[in-house]
Order: sequence, then C-alpha cells, then structure tokens
Amino acid sequence: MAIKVRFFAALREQVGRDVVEVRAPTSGDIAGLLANMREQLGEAVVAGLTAPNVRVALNREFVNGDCAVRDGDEVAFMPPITGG
Amino acid sequence: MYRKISIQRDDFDVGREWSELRAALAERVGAMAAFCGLVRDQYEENRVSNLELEHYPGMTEKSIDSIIDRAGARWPLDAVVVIHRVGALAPREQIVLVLATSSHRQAALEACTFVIDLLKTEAVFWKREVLPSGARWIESTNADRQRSTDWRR
Repeated sequence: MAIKVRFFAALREQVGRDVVEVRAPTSGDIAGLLANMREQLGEAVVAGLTAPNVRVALNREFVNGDCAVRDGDEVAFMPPITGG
Repeated sequence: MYRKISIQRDDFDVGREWSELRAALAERVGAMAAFCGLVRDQYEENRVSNLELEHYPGMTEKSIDSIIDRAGARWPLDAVVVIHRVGALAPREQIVLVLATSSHRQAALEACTFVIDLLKTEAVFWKREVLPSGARWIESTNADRQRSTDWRR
C-alpha cells in the first residue's frame, strides 16, 4: 500500500505525470508525504507544490494546512481553479 | 430539493433541460431562472482558437454539490440543475448551464447568480486557452474572486 498522489492542470505539466505512488510517511502527515516525495521525485518538483496558491485535497475534499494521511489515501495537488 | 449535476463532454440542449425540469416541478413553483455560459472568442487582445477544460472526477461533482447546498440554505429553492462541460470546446460553444427554481422570481434569479458566481471560484475545473501564440492556463480574475467574496456578506 502507498499514497496515491495526483497532479492537475499546470502542476501536472510541471511534474510531467498525473499520478505517482508515494510511500506513506511515518509522520502520517502532508509534511512527511512531501519529504518522501522529495526523495522520490526531486526537490524541484516538490518546490512547485508548496506555493501559496496550490490547494491540497485529501480523498477529494479540500484541506487547509496539514492533515493526517494514511496508506490508501489519495492526495491531490491543484493549481487555482477556474470553472464556470 | 431536487438537484442534477452533470459533468459531460457532450453538448447539452437548453430547451430539453428546461422542459424536463418544468415537467418534474411541484405546482407551487412559480419561477425558473437560467444561465448559460458560452466560450468567448476573444481574451484580452487575442483570439481564442479553443478552450480545454480539465476536471477531477468525483471531487468536481462534490464541489458543485456543496455550492448547491449553500444556495439551498440561503433561498427557498425547489430545484437546481448544473451541467458543466469538459474537454475541448470551440468559441461560442455552450460550456455551462445553471437552472434554479423557486416559488418566486427573486429567489430563483439570485440563486442562479450565486451558483454561477461560485462555480467560477469553487468548482474544481481548470481552463486552458489555446491562442495563436500558444496555450496557457487561465487564472481566475479579481472580478470573479470579488463576486464570490461578496456573497459571504
């Protein structure tokens, strides 16, 4: 098991992939997940994900700040949305 | 409250959606309001050759459901319909339809405006414009963010 991490729109293009499987962090939070992603994907990729306008969703719900993540969760990194 | 949310690649028929909703309504409903958004053919100084819409299946529907919940908490509504297209769209194609119904016109009209205003800033979609000079992701405008914020008063 791992955490499924998804990227959308401009972030998907920056990362060059729409989904990656990341080892669940022992800390059990987004900060730990980002640390594991840094090892797996490189610093440059992760730097773009921590910009203030990037929103994070856990299992298809927006989260503000950090939150608990576990094996089997889906975390999405999303640039500003533009519907309508 | 009756609600319908559809995220689809295919075009929609406003007349059919309108008639189907009208047929399903209770007799007390006295007002239906509609908004239909089209793809603009001009952005700033550039002619847009195409618009591409991306969404997050599952989450996009949830985000629209939450907007409808808030409209229903604010006005006495009988029904809200939101149809939003994704994929590649050409200028003048229909992109979004909002229908809102209530006993009286003011609630239907205001709820329709509220839903489209919040779709701009809270529904999970991303738009990419294909211009003669290349493609670029659209960012929400200050005016859109302001209209969404104004509803919090």
